[in-house]
Amino acid sequence: MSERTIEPRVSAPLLVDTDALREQVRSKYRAVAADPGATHHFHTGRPLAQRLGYPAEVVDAFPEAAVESFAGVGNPFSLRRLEPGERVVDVGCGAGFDSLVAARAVGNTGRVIGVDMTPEMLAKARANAASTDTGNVEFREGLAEALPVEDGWADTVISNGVINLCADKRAAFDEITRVLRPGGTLQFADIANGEPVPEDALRDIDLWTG
Amino acid sequence: MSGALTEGAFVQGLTRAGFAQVAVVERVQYGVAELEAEPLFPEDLVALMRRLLPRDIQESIGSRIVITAVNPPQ
Repeated sequence: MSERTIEPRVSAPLLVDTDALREQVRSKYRAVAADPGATHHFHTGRPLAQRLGYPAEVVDAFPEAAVESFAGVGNPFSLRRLEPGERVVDVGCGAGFDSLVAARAVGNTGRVIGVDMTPEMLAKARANAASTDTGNVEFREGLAEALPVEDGWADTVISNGVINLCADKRAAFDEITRVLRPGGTLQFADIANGEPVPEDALRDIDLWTG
Repeated sequence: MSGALTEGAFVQGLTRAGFAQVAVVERVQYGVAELEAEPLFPEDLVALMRRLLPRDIQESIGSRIVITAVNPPQ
């Protein structure tokens, strides 16, 4: 039994079965996309967005379908407002709530690309963009560790509760660096553990997603 | 939560990736008391955490954070 901790794991060997982890994450978020009102191990939807400090006027501007599958852990817009004309990448966009918020903030001269690995979430995100007549946002299937975005495209990268689910943090950080233009900004919300996680727990996929 | 980093590891990892001005700009700490108020943490799990975890750990299991960083101009 090992109690060794690995800190930081951004440079450590991957201790978890990456494919199995991704499939389990897809499974969890597929369930959120299909039945957002069910009981999940995390909160979802409009009550969560309001609890995390999204202004009521921002949340209320969207129909229920655009908010109900939101499953973020914070508000990546809390410190810096996006400016009109910015190009934004949303890493792990899910059903697209943050992408839609960003799309409204950057306006018609800006553009947003949301990236997610769960097809059901992407389908919902595209439907939400269509139903809200949001034409400056595009959703692409991909991984945080291999973003389908060209080098230096983004002025800003946002993410919300996704990095903790990435098996290879270092690859994710490198990809975010790659797609950001020089001088561009990363602003993201995530959960942080108070103490490093024991190596045994790192190998247990159920403890990543539960 | 096994995949979550500590704040220090976040900052170190982003710095290593080439980011500058890495800062934790928002932090909401949570402990067992906060989890107890969540409907998704059953009583038996909360009781187990109270029994097994040292008191100081019970008060700071983790946090929700917002981080900003800048890709340095070249």
